[in-house]
Amino acid sequence: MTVTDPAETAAPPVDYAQLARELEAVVGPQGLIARPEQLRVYEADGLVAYRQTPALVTLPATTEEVQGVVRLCHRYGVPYVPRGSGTGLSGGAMPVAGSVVIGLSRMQRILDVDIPNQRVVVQPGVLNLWVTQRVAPHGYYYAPDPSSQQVCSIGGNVAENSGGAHCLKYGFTVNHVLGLRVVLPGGDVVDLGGPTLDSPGYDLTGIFVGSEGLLGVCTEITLRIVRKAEAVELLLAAFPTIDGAGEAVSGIIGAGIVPAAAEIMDALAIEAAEAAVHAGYPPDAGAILLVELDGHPTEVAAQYARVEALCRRAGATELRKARDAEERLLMWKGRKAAFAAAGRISPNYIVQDGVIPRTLLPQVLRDIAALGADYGLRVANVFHAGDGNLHPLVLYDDRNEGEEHRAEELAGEILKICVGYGGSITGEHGVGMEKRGYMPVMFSEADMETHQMIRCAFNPGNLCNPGKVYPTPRLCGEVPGKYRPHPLELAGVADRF
Amino acid sequence: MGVSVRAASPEALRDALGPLVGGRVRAAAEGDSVAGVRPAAVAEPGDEAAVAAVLALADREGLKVLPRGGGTQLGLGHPPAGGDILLDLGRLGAVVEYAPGDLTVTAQAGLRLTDLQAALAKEGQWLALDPALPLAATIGGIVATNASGPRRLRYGGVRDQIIGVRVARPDGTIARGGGKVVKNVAGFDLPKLFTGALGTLGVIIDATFRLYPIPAASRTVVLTAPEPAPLCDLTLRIIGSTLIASAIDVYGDTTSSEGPRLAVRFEGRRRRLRIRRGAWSRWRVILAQGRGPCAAKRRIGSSGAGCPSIRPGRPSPGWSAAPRSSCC
Repeated sequence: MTVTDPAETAAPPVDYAQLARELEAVVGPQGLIARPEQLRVYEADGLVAYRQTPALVTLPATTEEVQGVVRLCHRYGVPYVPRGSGTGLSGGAMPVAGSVVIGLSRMQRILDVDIPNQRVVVQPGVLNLWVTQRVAPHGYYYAPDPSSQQVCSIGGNVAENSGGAHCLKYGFTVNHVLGLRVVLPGGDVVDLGGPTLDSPGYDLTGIFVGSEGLLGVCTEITLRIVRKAEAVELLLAAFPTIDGAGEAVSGIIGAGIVPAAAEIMDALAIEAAEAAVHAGYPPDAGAILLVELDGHPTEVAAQYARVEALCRRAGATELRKARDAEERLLMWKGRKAAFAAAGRISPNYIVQDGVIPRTLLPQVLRDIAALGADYGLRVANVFHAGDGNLHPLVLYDDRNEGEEHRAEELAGEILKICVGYGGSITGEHGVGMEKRGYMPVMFSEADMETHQMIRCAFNPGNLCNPGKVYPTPRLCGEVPGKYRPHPLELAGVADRF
Repeated sequence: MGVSVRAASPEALRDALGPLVGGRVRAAAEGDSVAGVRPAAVAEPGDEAAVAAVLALADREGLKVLPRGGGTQLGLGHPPAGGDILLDLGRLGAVVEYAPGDLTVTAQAGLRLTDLQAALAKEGQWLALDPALPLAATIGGIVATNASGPRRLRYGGVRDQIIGVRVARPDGTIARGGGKVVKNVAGFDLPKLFTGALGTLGVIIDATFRLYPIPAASRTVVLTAPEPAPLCDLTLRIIGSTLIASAIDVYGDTTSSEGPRLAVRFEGRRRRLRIRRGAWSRWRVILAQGRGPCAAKRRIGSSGAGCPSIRPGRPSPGWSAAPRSSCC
């Protein structure tokens, strides 16, 4: 088998000036960024602690232009990094050295709205919230709602398989994507999935969604939309301790109720959210639980009474029901602003994204608190309690010598705790650059080698978003099995990283 | 490596397989043929190590392996291009881990759906998949063939329920994707890749799923009409309404005695399922909202000019297979 890897194909130094001229011919002058001060805008995504200025940035406007850019990158042997709104929290859209960024923010058209068949076709730069805004007059919405939904793009959501508070009941991005048009590494354009459920053949849509930009660049996405529920109720319950809130959630799920969302915030997170958006959360609570129920009015009413009773039994000190849609939005605003609000109580913070089996919540939170005390750092907790997805916010001050490093270490230890309890290192933010070093905590060598076979099938040259997700990307010509050095490594041409 | 066991004889192949699967190997019977391909040997591994060993042997020897669960969907896909070993996964029949509080379960490939549902029902839960032939269909087969049933409308298909998978690759390496938590984006989504792959990428050892509580009550409304068109039209309007149906199927045709039928299943609390009073009147509202040529006059049980009548009918027997269902 032929070995193709960037180290080999990029052996002669790249003439970036010539590449820039050829790229400009594809995307036009307004679609190419080459000036150093402008390139710096793209040096990081939402994970700003990691930075790398790209060699060039392209902003293609059509599938054909994306294809042209990808083909040129392959001809020059230059790595390329797809990017949506750049709000990702794991460094998935962070440039790699010498790379061309393919920014999709000019592809912002909603191409088709088909209400009777409940689907919408969009370009990747379309913002998440625009889809809901477009179909809301017909009584529909787009279900996945990451906290960044006002700014994050559907293309980025596809790359990361984004979730949000309401995915407890309605599923993640992957459950709402029917089909994709993808520019594959190399430049071929293919359609995966289709306008209906269950296209025959392999579920390539399923494997592409959440692949963090390693398998190609999507340029059109067919989404499912969901009928707005007839009735919605939001309950805010305050508890003296976080254990009580966790117990209430277990009680609710154990009673056979699947809420649309169940979110917990601890005292520190409440303090931050209040400082930022004044959502009216009880200031002296040890924890608050937000439970949203939706569906048929009689069903919701019955469930609401049940949930209230379960919260009381778990020791709730205050129960508040959102009076109307406006109050519901305000109550959600505090939760959705919680990450950014951490800036109000700490100069710096790291957002983590571990997952645990939900029933172990109280135990894991005690472990995290103990660990925080050991490291001498505060940890605020915001989480999607219904599905056990924790977002510990590790607070630190980078002006204090060594504190940033300690914070990173603590964040990593928290992930190890999650895996130790049978969970995952990421529920919705992705592995990206940030957590690739923790993949071996969760997966064996054989597991990761098998995953790499998928990458090799789509992206054998490893030019498409290299260095992300997996700690040691295999060269695709290698025979699977026990590690043995690749001939290129022995020759000193290629490195494992 | 000595003489190829395949070249030698079917007996030699069975002799080579025997020690790998604790002697559970036999010659293929007529019923073991897959789309006309009759394998030389049927191996029944009892654990994942035995599956891996059989696959590693086949890989070394260039033998073709046909994995089989309950054998209910063997007609799907192309007929196999030959087959030396039929890998019968029926002995991998354990519930590996069931966490009712977390609404997750890990089950081995050979476990029959009906047995899994029985175990889950004790906790008031179920795997929200209702494919055909649940008495015979196995977990591995359901995943490999992406089998689902009418209630996919509400709960989604296999890809929406599966959260983890453990597979043996064709070279015998065991690998895992996903996990046992309902929310997880670490690594490529191997569970989805193996869903519907018809066993062409490897052999499923076990799979992990998210579960749902069994609804307190379930009711099915069946309507008939002389031709399918108004039923299809009604389907679109139900889907476009705020009614939450768990399943909507159109079946039968103009040649059958009862004509085309539309079955609509609702699940939830008992009270809300009082179909005769509440829901029927709501249905009339939906019907009246239609923009078709005869929408204004269309009502259940009556017919307007040029508008075929839609009237209540009986559900088909297949619809009573779900847990605790009580069809009306």
